[in-house]
Amino acid sequence: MNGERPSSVSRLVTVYIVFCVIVLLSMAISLNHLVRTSTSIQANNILSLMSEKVNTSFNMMVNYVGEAAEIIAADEECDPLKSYEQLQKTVEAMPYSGIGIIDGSGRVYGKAGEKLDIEKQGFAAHLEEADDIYISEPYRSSVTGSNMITMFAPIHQNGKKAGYLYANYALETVQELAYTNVLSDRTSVFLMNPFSGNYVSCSEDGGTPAGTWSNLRLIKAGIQGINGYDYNRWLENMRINSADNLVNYNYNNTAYTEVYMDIHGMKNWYLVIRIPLEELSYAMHQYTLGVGICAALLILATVLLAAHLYEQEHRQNETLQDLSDHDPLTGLYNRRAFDERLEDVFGSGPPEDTCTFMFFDIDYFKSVNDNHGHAAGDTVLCAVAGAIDHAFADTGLAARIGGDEFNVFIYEPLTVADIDDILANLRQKLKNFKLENGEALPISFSAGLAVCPQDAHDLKSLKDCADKALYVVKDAGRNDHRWYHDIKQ
Amino acid sequence: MNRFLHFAAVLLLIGILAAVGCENGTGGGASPQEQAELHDFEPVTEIKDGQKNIYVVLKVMTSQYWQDIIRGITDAGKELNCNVYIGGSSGEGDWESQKKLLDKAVNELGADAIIISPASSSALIDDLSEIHDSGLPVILVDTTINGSGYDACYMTDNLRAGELAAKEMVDALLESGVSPDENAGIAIQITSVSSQTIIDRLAGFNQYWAVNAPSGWVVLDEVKTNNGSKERAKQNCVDFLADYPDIKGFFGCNNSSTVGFVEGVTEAGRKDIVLVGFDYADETAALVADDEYRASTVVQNQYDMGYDGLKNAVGILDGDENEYKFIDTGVVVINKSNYKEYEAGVDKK
Repeated sequence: MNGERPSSVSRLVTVYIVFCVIVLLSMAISLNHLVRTSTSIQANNILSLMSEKVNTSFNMMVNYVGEAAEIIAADEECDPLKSYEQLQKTVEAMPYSGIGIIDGSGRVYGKAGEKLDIEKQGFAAHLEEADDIYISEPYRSSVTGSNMITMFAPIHQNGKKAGYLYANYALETVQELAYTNVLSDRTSVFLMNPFSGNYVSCSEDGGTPAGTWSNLRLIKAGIQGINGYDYNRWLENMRINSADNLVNYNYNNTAYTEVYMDIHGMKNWYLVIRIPLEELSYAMHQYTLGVGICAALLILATVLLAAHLYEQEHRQNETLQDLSDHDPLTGLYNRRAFDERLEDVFGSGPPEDTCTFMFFDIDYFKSVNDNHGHAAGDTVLCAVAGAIDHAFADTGLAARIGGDEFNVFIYEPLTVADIDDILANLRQKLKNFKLENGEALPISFSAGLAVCPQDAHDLKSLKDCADKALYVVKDAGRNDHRWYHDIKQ
Repeated sequence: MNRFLHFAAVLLLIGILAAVGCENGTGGGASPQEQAELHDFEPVTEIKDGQKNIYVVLKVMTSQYWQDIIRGITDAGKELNCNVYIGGSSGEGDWESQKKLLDKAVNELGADAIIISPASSSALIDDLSEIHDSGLPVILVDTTINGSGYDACYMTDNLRAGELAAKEMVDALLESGVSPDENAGIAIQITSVSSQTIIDRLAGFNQYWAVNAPSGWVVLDEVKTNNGSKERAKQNCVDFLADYPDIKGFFGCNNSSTVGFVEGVTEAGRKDIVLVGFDYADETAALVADDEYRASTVVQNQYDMGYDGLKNAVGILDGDENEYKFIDTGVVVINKSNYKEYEAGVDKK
């Protein structure tokens, strides 16, 4: 009987939450996408800059060997042994691990291990073919036991090759060219041959030493191009030394950006630099996460605030409803609310079960006010209302209609005898009423009752019947109750 | 309604956190350390007072390959009148047993020199450096370490070995009548991608191939692995033949891969296929000697690793200075032209 109408605030809050979820999810997804795109662009730019740095440094290494050869060539005396001895003094200060000379007759001025390597690796055939600088493939040095490359620069005298100067570089030296404080150990440098698929690491990686050979055939199946890049196309580009030298890919759940540069003097080999994309995206991801958390907390706070406001509004509505439905003095329903509820009951015809309507007046209430004051009168009204409400708590609905008049609608199908007993008890109780100061103030009442559907089928008629019964009681001197069906006969 | 709001708020929070969350996840873990039985030091030469005590720590003691190394060490020890003791583990990766043996040899038994085939290129770096710095000669055989704490390393330069195998493949294909103008596929099989020895051979093969083979002769992108199983290796061979009709050559990077190819080719009766492998298993030797097939194999000089390694250790003790730190003991390509001489030579050693 106590229907609750849906609140406009709750509907607004629901719409608001759905809207926020959609907006925030869209924002988070697009932010992630933006971060990825931006990171890729940044990483590619950084890598391009780094590759220029490495390329310049590598060329400086190559040029140094070439210039040293020119200095030797410029020496008119051109004593290889003397030049070799001079060169040995530079080894400790320079990045190469060994340096020596091959004279015009093929005699090597160098360590025994270097002589052995020059012979074993068959460098002579390559040197004949090369007009300028020649850089060997990585090989295991007999001198150090580790992998290295050797750069050869021709010594030209009188327009002819008069020998070669060579310098040995450990692969780690190449890696060091790419060193930066920011990306220190996250940058990988390789030498790669796209024709054989071989690549040689220039840094130690997971226990694998610098100079370790491997082949793309062993890993290519696990490489997946990303951000619109294709790894196989990149390899094809490398084979023709295309300027389009950058690729992004995923390998072992890590995203990388990688770039190649050709190496002057090292035919078919390219210098490849790689950095993980995540290295750069980490900060952006942290930022995205932070923004997401802040936004989520903001929305959470808004939702909780809305919930709080809704609760407050709900309570206020309940209070207002209570005030508009109830008599402020007694707490019983007022006439309007009482009539509304009864109209609901009788709206579609008489109720299925038997029900009873009762008019109830306090006898001589005016004299209470006159003799004991209005405060005592209010006390009496409250006591009577409480007693009626208690008597019909589970069986009926009571209301104060005005002054000392009350109505009770008994919706439970109680018998006449049941109601007579209830009224007898009520009468006895009110008869023994005392004011707060202990003064006895017996209260009596008069009541008229009518039964639906026996006495009437509609509310108005039912009320009329009960009213008539009440006036019979009043005419008969009050302090009693009557049933309409009794006075009708 | 209030509960709904709270529930919606929590869902909202979870949704946003999930949407902005990290995209990567990585996983993986180290395999458990191989538990293997430790083979304590046993003398292989006559032990006499006053002779140099050379302690040898090997990876495995049982296979023919390691028995050849032991023979080389033993022969050199006898020639140079040394007390030679050999110990090791029965597992390839059991460096912990080797560490215990090293400690025992140096601190309890009074070794004059150490010869070791390290089971890990990184785990024993500090131990070997410490021994080397204390003045004891340290000689590596078969495998090197990622450090400099040793005097010399006697092993095969597997990159060069792979190049030789590729050269043999090119020569054999031409001899077999495969035209440089026709298309030919070459299939490669390896044990696993974790063996650097095998990867070096694969890299060496491809390096030579890229420069010297006709452009129509292509090494397949697919490299099959067998984890040392000859049955798997044979099945790989069968699969290659079924999947690539243009195959003209097989390259086996190790013993199991080679034997798998030998059995697969023999069973299929594919006499048109050229096979180049590694090591000299009985099955491989039989195919090399078979006139109807064209098979070659690359063998290492493991005997020399042991023999030369021990002689070098004694030389250092006698005051010699090493000129070389890495010594490639070389390989020999065995085919129909030289297998008889090779077998006769092996018998003499």
